[in-house]
Amino acid sequence: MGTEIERNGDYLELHTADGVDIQLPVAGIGSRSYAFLIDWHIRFILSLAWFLLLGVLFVGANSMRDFFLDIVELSSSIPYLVLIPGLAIYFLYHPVLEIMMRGRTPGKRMTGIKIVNKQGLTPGTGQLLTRNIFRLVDAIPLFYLIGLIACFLTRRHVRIGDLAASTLLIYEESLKNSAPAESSARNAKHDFPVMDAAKELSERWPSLDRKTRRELATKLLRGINPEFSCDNLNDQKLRQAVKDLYSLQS
Amino acid sequence: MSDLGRTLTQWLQNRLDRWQKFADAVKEKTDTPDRSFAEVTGLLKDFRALAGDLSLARSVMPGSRLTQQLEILFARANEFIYRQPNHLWRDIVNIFREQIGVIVWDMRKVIVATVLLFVTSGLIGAVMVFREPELIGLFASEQMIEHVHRGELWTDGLLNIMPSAILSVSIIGNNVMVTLFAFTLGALLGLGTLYIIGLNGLMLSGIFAYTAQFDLAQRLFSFIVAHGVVELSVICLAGAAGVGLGEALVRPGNRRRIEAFEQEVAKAGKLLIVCIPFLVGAGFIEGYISPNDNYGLLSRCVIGFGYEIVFLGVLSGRVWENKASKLICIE
Repeated sequence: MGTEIERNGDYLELHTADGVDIQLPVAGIGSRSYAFLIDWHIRFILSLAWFLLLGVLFVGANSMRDFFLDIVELSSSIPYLVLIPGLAIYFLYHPVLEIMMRGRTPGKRMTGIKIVNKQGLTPGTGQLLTRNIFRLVDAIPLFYLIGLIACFLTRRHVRIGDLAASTLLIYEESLKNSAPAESSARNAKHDFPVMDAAKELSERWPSLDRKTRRELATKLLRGINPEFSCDNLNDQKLRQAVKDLYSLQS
Repeated sequence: MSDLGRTLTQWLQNRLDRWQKFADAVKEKTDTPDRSFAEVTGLLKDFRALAGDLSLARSVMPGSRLTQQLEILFARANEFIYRQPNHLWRDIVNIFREQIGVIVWDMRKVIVATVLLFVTSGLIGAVMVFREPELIGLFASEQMIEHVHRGELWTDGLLNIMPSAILSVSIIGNNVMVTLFAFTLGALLGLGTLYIIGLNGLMLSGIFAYTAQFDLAQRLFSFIVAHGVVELSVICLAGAAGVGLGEALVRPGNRRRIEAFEQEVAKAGKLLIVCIPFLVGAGFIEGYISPNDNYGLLSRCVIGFGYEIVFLGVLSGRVWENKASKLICIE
């Protein structure tokens, strides 16, 4: 378990029980909004699909218009049979999926963000339900205006539901990169300092002049293979050879 | 790099296999509850070793790719090992058996204040409509007013319009929304909650006062009593929870404002967990019993007040009290 040690807007900084500090990057308003829009479209389409399916089953495609008017006017009990599950899909989408997918929804997954508690762990069911109940407040008066204002005003870009449930959103990509052993093992024939140097050179490649970068690359590659010569390699191939040092099996 | 640095780097490089195995073990989909004791202790041992390796990597190769990847693995493993177990049902049972009595007692002042607000606004609504009957237009729809003018209630023949099951579900949905609004609007410094409680008090008594002028008040009471007693109690409790949120924001005491808010939400959330099932029950009573003319006033009163007694019993925490834990506390 971890305790929050510093209130930095961009990172959730934790001091874990094992004495190691870790940083989790906090998701901003853009990512949150993007994830919400994806989720909104998914649940809207699912609800609409339900209405259309039931509409065809109950009345057939030709009388669909009257059927939807019935639903709007609630003039008989059949619309309720259609309306209630459709609304359930729409309104229970977030709480149910967040619980089942451990703090994620399809939209959040596509955006690469995840809900965590202040200890950086997946929140409990109670916390996830709480943050969803408070959507009622965040959503007023329209288009999540209060929630958006709260996101702008708070350091961690959280809405009122997150404040109530002690949760926040982090970039999950930071936890999903390849495991160290996974990628490092592939490069086990090189030393870590060589890999780091190769990575830095590759990243700085465009900013260095041609002569300097070829010299550095040759020096680095000769550390691996003393016979190496860059005479027959053009600039692009040489850069790829440097990249191979840290990203591919050689 | 110094000799010591090279040695340590080499040592870290020799740990690759162990990290690889550990990374595979802490993948989310491998999270199964049936691990053996040896497996669990092995994971913990590897986790501690990883913490040591990460500290070493940070000092020998700060900011390096390896260090970053070890940080990622450590964060994943930390989540895997310290994640709270999901004992939802056990936690809910625990709220009913151990916590609810304490929570209600803790919130007694704010509950009393909310009930007083509801009663006061009710009295104001009744006086308003008695004196100026046309003010009923503020609380009731034109359709309802027309029904009353014809000497009937808008609830008459409700079961002819839709079956009890559908009626119950729509009523439950509506009541749950009102309850949740009464609670969550407390986040707006309690003002939203005060508005909902006040408005409900005004509406209920205003409509009663109006129907009384057409000798329909007793019939309205007869319709409401079976489900309404618990329903109104739940709305008042949700309102009290909302007022509690507002109070935490306005007067956090010696806590930070946000901490006070979080604590109140956690406490009030447990209260709502107990209230919602009773609200669902009230919805079924409203769908099946209240519109059914076969039930006389007496039976409706017995159902309504009997249900309320059960509700209050559960809120007191004594109905499903855990006697064993009580004995432990006394000792």
